Amino acid sequence: MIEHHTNLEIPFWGANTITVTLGCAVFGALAGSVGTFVLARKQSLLADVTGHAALPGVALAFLIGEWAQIGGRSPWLLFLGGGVTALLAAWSTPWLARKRRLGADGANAVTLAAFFGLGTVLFSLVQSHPTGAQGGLRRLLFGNAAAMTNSDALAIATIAIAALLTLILLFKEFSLLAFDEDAARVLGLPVRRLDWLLLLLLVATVVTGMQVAGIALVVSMLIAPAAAARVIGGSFGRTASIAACFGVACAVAGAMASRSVEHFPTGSAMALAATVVFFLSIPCSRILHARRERNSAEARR
Amino acid sequence: MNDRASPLAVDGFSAGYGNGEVIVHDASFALRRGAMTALVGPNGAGKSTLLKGALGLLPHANTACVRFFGQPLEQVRARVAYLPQRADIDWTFPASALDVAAMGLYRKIGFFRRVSGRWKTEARRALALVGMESLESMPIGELSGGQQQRVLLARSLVQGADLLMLDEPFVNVDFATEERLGAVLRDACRSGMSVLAVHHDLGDVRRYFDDAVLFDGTVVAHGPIEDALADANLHEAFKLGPPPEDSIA
Amino acid sequence: MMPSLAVDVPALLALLCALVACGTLGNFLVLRKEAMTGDAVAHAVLPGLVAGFLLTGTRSTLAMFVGAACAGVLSILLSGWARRATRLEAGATLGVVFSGLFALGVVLLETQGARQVDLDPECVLFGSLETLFYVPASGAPWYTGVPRTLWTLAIAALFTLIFALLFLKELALLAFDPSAARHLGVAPRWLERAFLIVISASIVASFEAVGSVLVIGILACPALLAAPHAKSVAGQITLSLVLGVALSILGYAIAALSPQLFGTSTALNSAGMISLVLALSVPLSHAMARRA
Repeated sequence: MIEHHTNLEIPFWGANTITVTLGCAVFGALAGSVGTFVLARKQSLLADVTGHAALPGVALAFLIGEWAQIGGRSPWLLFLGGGVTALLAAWSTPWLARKRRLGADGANAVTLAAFFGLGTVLFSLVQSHPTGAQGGLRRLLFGNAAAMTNSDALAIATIAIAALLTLILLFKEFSLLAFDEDAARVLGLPVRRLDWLLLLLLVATVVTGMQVAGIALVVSMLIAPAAAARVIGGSFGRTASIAACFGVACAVAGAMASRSVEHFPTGSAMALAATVVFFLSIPCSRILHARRERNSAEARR
Repeated sequence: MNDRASPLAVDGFSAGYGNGEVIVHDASFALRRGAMTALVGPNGAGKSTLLKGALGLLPHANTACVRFFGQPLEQVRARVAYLPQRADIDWTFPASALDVAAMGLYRKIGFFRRVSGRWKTEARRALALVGMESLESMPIGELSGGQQQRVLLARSLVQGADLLMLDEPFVNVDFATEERLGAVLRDACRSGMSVLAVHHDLGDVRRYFDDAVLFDGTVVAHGPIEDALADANLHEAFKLGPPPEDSIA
Repeated sequence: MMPSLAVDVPALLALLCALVACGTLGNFLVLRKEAMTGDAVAHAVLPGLVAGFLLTGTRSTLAMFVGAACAGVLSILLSGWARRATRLEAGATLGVVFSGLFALGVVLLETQGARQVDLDPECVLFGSLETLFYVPASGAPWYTGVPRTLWTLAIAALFTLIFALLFLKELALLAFDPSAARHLGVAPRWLERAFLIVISASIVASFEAVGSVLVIGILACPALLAAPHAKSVAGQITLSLVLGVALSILGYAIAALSPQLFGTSTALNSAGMISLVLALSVPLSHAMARRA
């Protein structure tokens, strides 16, 4: 049974659609460029853990919001909650890997199990909550751009643009940190603070991606566009820009898909688009490479 | 069985890691039976790649031109032992020295059977050869670097092989271990075993080895140690330019 | 509150079977430093599960199993190919492939109507343990009322235990020194493949009990708990199962008794609580080992 109903309630290119598409686009750009650093620092699986670790925070924020009667669904409250636990996970994983001799792999597994376990427990608490406002939380699992409001989009865009500006301003410092941490230390850069800042940017991506791509699949938008850009290659700056472009394209494609096909989860659409982009990048890079070689051979002649 | 054949003969061998980059080009040499041969060359020359490739441990190596005792490796696996670089091994693994030494016997023990007392005795004997009998129940993570290397050698010896291939056996081990390993290998060679070891210290290569293969992506020279490591060859392999006129050995 | 035969016993048994099925082979994944591969497989099998369901129209165990196995093998082949073709870090290609396949599974679920039955994306994330009941029909033999999931899990647990026992020394050598294992000819290709297939099967079987994410909790945490105290591989596996089972029962009890303990209106999610208890014990266990 295939359902292809156009969503008739919302005009496809209404004012709300434009805001939402813009919000998704900014998130895509942030995910692509932050992903370039995640990949360079070999932290792809840490990104996965961080993305999932937003769940307990979101559930906790909802419960606190309901308890304090300020409304559990305010985007800023959910962002704050998800951000705090995601940051805690992003920080504790490397710490565990170092201190407890678990290794990076074991530390990732333990943090994921702990945070998502807690998230699952708290989520079951949310679902038993009498108000019935938990529908908004369910959307954060797999993303739902179609249900985004203007204020959601505004909140996402604000955080994402601030994060993008930070990334652009400190681009060369972050690049050196990703490429050669020891060299950065020898040069006297504040490595620890930069490290923290990069983790914060990762968390900002996760938080802004919750409603757009969903907690379960935000990792795909972090890794796949950046991996595709890495395959195409070029300097670090070029790779980051290509990744950002891929991110925007995938995010917008996902948002449009979820607006035009009912029940089409935005996050899955984005992740699928990003995976396709990655697998297309491999033959593309071969063609580009061959052409570059031919050109340089002609130039030599 | 053709026991006259060289323990290891490669002819036009090449190997790489499958990303298009070829690390070993067109290498050809044949080891002498009963000799200790050093595989010498600069860093990044592909010595480990040559060893692993010949043993079929790399997906991209033309093992068709590698012969062990005149035959393809599949036929004579039991007669060839391999000792990896110590750094390639996870020393936090939950195992004792005896457990590791007994691993060399797994092929003989076969599937579905436990490591019983008879096999443990055999593994113990190999540990005694390298002077580790008193530490057999020690977790491998608590051994020193030299002791770990001895355990690995015991694992190769227990296999009862006729050719022993070692990757950097003398790196980061204490002097006593180096001496002991050298003596054990020399004894083994006297009783008919052949040894090929990757070695990178040109200073003491003459102490332990009879022959040398000088290697830099391909075979630069091969033969008795004094001939193979003649200055002209060393200059070629280590890219030092032509040897000076009045070179001192 | 007394444990109820209809609700608590099947759920707890299902969790324990899942723990044994995943936790046994999880030891080898942890020894190989590949714990997160289990997480990847748990996500990547989803499209296969759903396709098996859609093609046959039933939740028949076999169809979903075959589909999941195909998807699991596909994910390993695809990420291996992508890694060789791109020279990216293994975690990156693994991440791209497993999240892509997971996304495909979610899309299939949402758009193809499977969600109208009892498979929905939330069950995929959190498991559907709450739907397990033991309701024997009156007059029928006792085993007729045992839920299908529990049978599947019990068989999976038994099968993995036998597999691990039969190939203990080979799997241990494969984890310790893969090149020696290959060179000695004691761990041929088929054993490596069999290992991947058996572990994928345990993961698929555990899917319904704990969901796709918490599989990592029962897969890696028991082994990581036992690792700092074990002196041999067999010892590590035994200790991991003993600690895993004990802590799981504790976690289950906390979740089931939460209305009395914390005053919540319903019982909390037990799979999540077990995962939390197991994961929090890992740093504790490592700290204890260091002090000893």
